[in-house]
Amino acid sequence: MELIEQRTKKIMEECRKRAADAGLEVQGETLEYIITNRDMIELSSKIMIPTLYDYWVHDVEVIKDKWIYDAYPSNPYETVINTRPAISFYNDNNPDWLNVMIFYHVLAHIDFFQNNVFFRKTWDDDFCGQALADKRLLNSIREEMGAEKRWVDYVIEFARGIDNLVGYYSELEEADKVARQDFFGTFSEKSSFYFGEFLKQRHDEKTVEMKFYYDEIGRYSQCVKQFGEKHGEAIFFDDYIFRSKFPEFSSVFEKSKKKQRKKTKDILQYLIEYSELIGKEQNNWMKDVLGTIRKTSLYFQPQIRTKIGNEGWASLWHERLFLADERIKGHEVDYARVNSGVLVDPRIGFNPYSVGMHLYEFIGELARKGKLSYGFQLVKDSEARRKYDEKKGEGYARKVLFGARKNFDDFMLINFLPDDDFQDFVNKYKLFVAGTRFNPDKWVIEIYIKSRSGKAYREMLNRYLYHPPYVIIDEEKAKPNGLYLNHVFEGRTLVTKYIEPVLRGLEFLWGRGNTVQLETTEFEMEKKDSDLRAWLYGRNQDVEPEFEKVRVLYTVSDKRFARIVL
Amino acid sequence: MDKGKFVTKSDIIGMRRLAEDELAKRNGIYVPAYSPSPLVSLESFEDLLKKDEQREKDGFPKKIKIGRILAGPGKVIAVPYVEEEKLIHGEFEPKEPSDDGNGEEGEGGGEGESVAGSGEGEVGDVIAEKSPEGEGEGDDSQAGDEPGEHGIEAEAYKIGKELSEKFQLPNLKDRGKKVPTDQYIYDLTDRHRGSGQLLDKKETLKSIVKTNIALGRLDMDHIDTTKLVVGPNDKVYRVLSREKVWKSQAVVFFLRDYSGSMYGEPTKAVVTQHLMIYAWLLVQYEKLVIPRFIVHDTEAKEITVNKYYRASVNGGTFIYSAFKLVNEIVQNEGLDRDYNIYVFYGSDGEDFDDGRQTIPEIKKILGYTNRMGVCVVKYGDRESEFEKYVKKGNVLDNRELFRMHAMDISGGVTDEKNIEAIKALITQD
Repeated sequence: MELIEQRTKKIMEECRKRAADAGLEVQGETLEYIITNRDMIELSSKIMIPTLYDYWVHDVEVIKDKWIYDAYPSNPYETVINTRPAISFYNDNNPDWLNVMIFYHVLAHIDFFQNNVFFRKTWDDDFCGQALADKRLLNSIREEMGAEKRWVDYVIEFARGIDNLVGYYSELEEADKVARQDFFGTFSEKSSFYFGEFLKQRHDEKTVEMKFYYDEIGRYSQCVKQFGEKHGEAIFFDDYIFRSKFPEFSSVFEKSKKKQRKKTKDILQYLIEYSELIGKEQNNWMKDVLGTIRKTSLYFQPQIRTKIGNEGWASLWHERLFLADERIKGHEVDYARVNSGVLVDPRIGFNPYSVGMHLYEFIGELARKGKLSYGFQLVKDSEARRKYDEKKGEGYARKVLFGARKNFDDFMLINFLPDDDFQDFVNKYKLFVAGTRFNPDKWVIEIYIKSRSGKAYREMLNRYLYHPPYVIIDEEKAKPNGLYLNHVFEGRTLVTKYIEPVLRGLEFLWGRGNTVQLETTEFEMEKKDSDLRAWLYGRNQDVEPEFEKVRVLYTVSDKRFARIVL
Repeated sequence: MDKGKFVTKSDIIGMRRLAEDELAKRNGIYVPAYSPSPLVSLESFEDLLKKDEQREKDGFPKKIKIGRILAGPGKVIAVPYVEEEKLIHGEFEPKEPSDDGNGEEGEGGGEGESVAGSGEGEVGDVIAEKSPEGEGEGDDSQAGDEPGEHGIEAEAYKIGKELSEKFQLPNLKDRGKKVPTDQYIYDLTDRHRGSGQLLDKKETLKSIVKTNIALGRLDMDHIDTTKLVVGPNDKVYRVLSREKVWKSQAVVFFLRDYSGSMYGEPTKAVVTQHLMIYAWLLVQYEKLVIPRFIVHDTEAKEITVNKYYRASVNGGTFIYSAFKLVNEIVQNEGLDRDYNIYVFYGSDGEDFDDGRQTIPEIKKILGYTNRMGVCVVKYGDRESEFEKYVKKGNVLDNRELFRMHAMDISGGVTDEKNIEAIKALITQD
């Protein structure tokens, strides 16, 4: 692995200038490395981070379940890491002009990383450096433990069992709160609790009327106006009518503060804080290990959730910039060949690069024609919709486009358009949903066009998006010293065969002797088994099996694993 | 024959899932089941297995699984792999049981997977066809795509030894028919009078005594050895003789049901078991084992070892077709004369016959085989058609010749379950 040579670097710098002219914002330095194919393959098990912590499973073939998204584009030509400074890898077989195209692609990626708000928490990090420090830390722990070093790997393994459940959104929420505070000025905890939770709760319980709420707000502003910020609040809460109406306020507030302090963002953090085993002094190293795994997982979260947007954005810009670059003269055909390989809309199948790009293009076009307005929504006639063009202009379109890049993750990108507009999108790019069915006459499985409906296509896209199960810790249901996890059902069940190993790992991490439980939803057959078999195996084809949803509780205690239906 | 009549819903589900998987692999955002690395493992096989054993001692269940593929007669590719267990969403969503609803948890059917596409066409147009027959890939997690690149090639014989030791597989008590081979051994077994390499003293003495008795020189009451005469033909020697070596050999027929309902885990289980049995037999017969592979749906055909692993699921189920083919082959090639014959079969047991054609074929096989073992792979413990009519057909009484084992794979296929099945099929009690 070596840095690219000066000549190529100069070409890249030129690219960067043009990209900046087009509006892409890439801050700071960038590093480019040339690597071989073999390096690529070796790195891929470490998700392209060369300094990722060592874990023996990385070297064995790892079977991943279908639904786990690859965190990185599978484009073999390039790979870029979201870190400061941004690092990108280039295949050593690429010719110069190809590297120019790839560099535009990379720049667009970096622009996305650095400006999309979902990456907010990664903006200041030199991830590679941190990963290296973590890796060394873990290795030094292994050295210290000597013969017992396999326990480090056990802890890594069990922690990884739940590292897809990290509190990515909780972290963002916290960052938001801090940002919000700067926004709205200092609105103290006490007041925000009073107006945000206390009164709201009583309003829901119908003990307080809306009018009273507004009156209180009025009274607050008055106090602040009269006595200034600092004293105004004190006087507001000192008012004797208030105190007689809500004598319990201060104690309720104190209790809520205590509860807030306890709230942890995810299971890993909970383990670090409260696990009996990890709390023991000789096991303090486990905190480092769990912390590393959690940090690493959090780092990749935004990438997994913005894959379509990220790739679409990069494809969009590399196309625009590359074609505008006169240095490609003579290589247009080569470019076309390479580009089509990556950006083709497959007859059957889904290409996130192209769909992402089309979505951005489409949004830009909507903006340009003024179709992103309420007025347009009211137009239902398809001819009128097609011809509608308010000519809002290029500047507006760009503003919208860059705004989308800044604020959208994949889910929002796919879903923000209203149904009618999305149908236009699907029609424009001739997308459809395909299905399979068995043709007994021809003895083949046919793939046919199932639907051209925008709704159906969107629903299918949504099913492909990454979404880990929503699991929360329920302290009330837990046994004494136990850990109780609640998988809140959102429409999909868990993979059953993995539940036992994950829970066993958690039992170890939580401390043997304490109960670890997971409550989840499963489907069981309502009617007796014979009906299902009859339906499946041909005798009685009409009876459809029916399933009922049941809540199921898995328990691991003292190494015994049990499942009961609630 | 109208193949369509003998296809069950679960067969169709299996065939559809196969087609969808292949589509997804080629076109969609399918993430491959494993990330290939040029190094199978930095540590050797043995170290990995030792690590696994250590896990058990530390109180954790084993983690390393080994996928083994038979790549040719005697050659096996073994790939160690690991599944990362996490709490993740599964595929089972019985929202619309109208499409399908293979009622098992986790690995179940759920709604047929929708695939995306683009281009021209009206709703309802067929844009592609996938024939279930032909070069399907075997299975996802069996590392079937490019085994040559990642696996460790090993001799099946060695694997057989490992398995026999590790799982205490039984040894055959009597290896039955022996056949003369091309090998010869030389041993001092023949006797020759007058000259030779080694004097056989006992025989010589016997001969001398006989001669002397005939000559009347021997007095029974007073035996005087100094007065005995040694005739020229009395000396008996042992000489080297050239003998052919007789060894026992085996032909083993591996049959499997490849109807649509066998898609996925059932096929994985059967194929793994058959590989293990083959390896074990190699040890028992000192490598003189000829494997033959047959797959069947409503018809049976013999195929090569590579295709046995990769043959994708096809149509309906007529179990007797497989047994009939075995009988035909044995008869046409006269195999039962010289070889010890074994027949192993794996299926999910759902058959369209009620036994009247299958049982006679089974009885025919039992007429010449050393052992016939059938493993019925199913979800749950409800009796399948095959099991029912086998019980009625009075075949189970003959435990020395016929074994049947039902394997429940509701919780997944594990090495332990496979070994349990194999042991049930091969032990001699």
